[in-house]
Amino acid sequence: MNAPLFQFNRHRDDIEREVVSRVVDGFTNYAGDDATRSFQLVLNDAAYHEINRLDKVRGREGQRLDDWKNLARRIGRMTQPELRDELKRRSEWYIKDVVGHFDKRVYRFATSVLPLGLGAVFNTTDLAQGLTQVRDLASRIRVEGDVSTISELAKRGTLVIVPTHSSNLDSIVLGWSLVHAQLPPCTYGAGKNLFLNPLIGYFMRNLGAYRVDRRLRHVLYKDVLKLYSQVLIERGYHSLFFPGGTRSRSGQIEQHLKLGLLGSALSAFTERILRGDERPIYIVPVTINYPLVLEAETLIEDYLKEEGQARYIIDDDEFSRLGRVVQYSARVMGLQTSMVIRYGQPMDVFGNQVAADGHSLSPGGSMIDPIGYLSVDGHVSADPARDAEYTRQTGAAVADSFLRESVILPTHFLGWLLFERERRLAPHLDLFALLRTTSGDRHDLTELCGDAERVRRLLVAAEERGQLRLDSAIRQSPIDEVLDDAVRTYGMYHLRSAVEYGDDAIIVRDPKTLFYYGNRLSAWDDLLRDGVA
Amino acid sequence: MTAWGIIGDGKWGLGLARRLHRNGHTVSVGGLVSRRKGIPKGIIHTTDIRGLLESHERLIIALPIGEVETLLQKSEVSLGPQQRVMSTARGLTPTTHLRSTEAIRALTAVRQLAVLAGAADARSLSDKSPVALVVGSAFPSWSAEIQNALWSNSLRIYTNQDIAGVELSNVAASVVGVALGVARAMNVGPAAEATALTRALAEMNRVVSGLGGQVGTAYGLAGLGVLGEMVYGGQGPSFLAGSSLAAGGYRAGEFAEVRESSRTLSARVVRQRIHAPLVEAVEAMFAGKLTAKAALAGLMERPVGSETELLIKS
Repeated sequence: MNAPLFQFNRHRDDIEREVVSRVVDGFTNYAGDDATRSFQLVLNDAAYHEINRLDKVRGREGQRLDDWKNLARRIGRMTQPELRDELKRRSEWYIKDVVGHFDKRVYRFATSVLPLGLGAVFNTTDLAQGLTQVRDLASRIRVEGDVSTISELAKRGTLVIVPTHSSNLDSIVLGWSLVHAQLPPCTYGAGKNLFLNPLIGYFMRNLGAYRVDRRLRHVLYKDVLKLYSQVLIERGYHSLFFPGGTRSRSGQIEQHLKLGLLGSALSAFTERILRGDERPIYIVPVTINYPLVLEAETLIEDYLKEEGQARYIIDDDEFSRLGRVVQYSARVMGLQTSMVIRYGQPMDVFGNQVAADGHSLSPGGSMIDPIGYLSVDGHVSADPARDAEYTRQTGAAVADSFLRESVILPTHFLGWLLFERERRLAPHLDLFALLRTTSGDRHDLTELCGDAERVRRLLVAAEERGQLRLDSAIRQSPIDEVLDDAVRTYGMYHLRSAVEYGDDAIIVRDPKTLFYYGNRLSAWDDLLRDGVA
Repeated sequence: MTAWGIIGDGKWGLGLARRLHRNGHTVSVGGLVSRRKGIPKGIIHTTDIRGLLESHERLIIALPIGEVETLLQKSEVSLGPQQRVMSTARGLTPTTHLRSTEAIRALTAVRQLAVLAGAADARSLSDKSPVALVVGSAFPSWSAEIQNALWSNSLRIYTNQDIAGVELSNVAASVVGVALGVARAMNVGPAAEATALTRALAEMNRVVSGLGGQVGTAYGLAGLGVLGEMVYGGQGPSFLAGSSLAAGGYRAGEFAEVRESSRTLSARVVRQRIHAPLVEAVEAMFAGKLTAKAALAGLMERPVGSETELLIKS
């Protein structure tokens, strides 16, 4: 495989220079025609945010506080060339902080040992059975979708892979799936906090990941980050980012996507066309479907905090505790139900489906030339307001794909069913009251199986309409076995099992965990509620 | 100056053609039958619909809503990414219950879509009466282009980025307007008419936001503007349909467009569980399941809630 990322190191300095130059040029008209005022505004914004942030941190990072304070005092007296130089210098600092690295030797090492390593991690019981575990890993993580077409598209153009995001393990298992499916490696942005783990950080640093510091909210940093991602795509580096922005706290399938990075794919396409480079860019939605989520307990706790109070960055969750990761991995290997990574149908940067030969298709299936979307009277141009709407539409197409390509597993099914029954039993209670009061509630197995059968019929009909996908166990197994699978799965990892068996009943033990897994089906609430008696 | 293609040589199509032509644009109008009569000088008329569609980047579809899908489903018609389309069709499609631009989006590769709506009728477009319309489009450059192309001292064109809201307001106004016509014909008095108008607006807001538009768009030209025209003028198809229902019924073939709007909108609000008692009452009256008197009594007996509550789902 000769992936563009293999050549990254050779072009890295050039990429950095291009990003810095375009960032600085782009800010010339930030506040209208007055370049001096534009530069002042951008630097003032950066200084304001950095001083606020650094004021609260200690150590090496805190030492930069004086530098920013000093700049804030000088901005008003600086000449335009001085401001430009300062902007360039700050951009250079940020790009160095962001930019990734790719080491072919580490990649070769990782791709040869990752399956073994993951296999071992996913089953710590007998390391001597390494090779057996490789096979087991492929059976525990099922890769679905038309990966051969995606592999062909990777040769014709540039892939932008956009997965759902539930866990910090996502980038690891997705990396494994790329190797397993013989897809090229991708560059991707990862939270800077993830690089703190020495082992994972080492691999991430050398396998094309770049650092995203989510604490930095000022326009200069955001622009550096966006342009870096855009320039990488323009230059043909296959890329990956999570359009949900952060892990789904509620367990719901992401529907409100961050459009900034998705917009950079369209900007990259436009820039390519303007330069006469007509290589296509393909968006590939992917769903990652876990029967158990490593950080489920922390994520749902965070979601249930008052809206707006939820932490954007969590650095003390289960992912940060090696014991929990190992325990989780070992348990996942013992599950009857596989984790599913499902590659959706690729689309162009406007959200149109693409054929196997790489051509964009109209809704009716005829071949179209997407460059037409950018042209007015035959001339291609960038139009930020127009392109923002195109990006919004592409985001909607990705969100739709997330729903259509989500694979519903028994834990999602039982979580939704039990929580919906609880809602029916106490319709006057709000969510928080429900979560406080339902622990210990008994659900008669006969009644539960009746509801489960009706909801399953609705789900099967929805699958036949192409609205979602079902794990084969939900589709085919006797309904009591589906429920049993879910009950056992919940009990295998979480500190407190979500449910347990009582006399001819299932008893709710942890409503929050049920709520979390059931939320995976919340997009179909209206449809499925008719199935609950 | 630019070239515009208009599909539909009815009153709307020709009214818009005149306005564009007066502003210096080249206009071609397509119709099913070759005709010369009524075609203003300087405007090209053709029956080659396919040729017209393929040769124009700026297109106006000025067809009744029932014909939009039929036109685009024809295998020989293919619209491409470079094209920009404005629709004047009101209502929802007969079988799929889609807005006109939703149908165009579902059947073609066109993305830059717009809709023209408001209180003006086709006659006021032609006779230079002072009038204002709203162009709804999520693409600011396309709506600005339409605004500039049509604007004159007798036609003000406002823009609104909420294209779904503009289309839905227009269809919702044409349906709840029937209820206002019923109220006037039943001589309920100004206070009760004002109540009906207020509740009609609240319902329009629910329908619009529940079906994908934004809260508040119903207060614009496509919603309140259309209701205002009915109430001030005491006429318009919806208002007159209401009068007929209050008087005991309508003749076969009468108010076909309003009845179709009522049928399709009520089907969509029921399917999506939108709380819309006026829309449902109007449809029940058209379907002969409810008399005007019983509809009024039913609406008055419903449980009453907060005036400001935006209860979308029933």
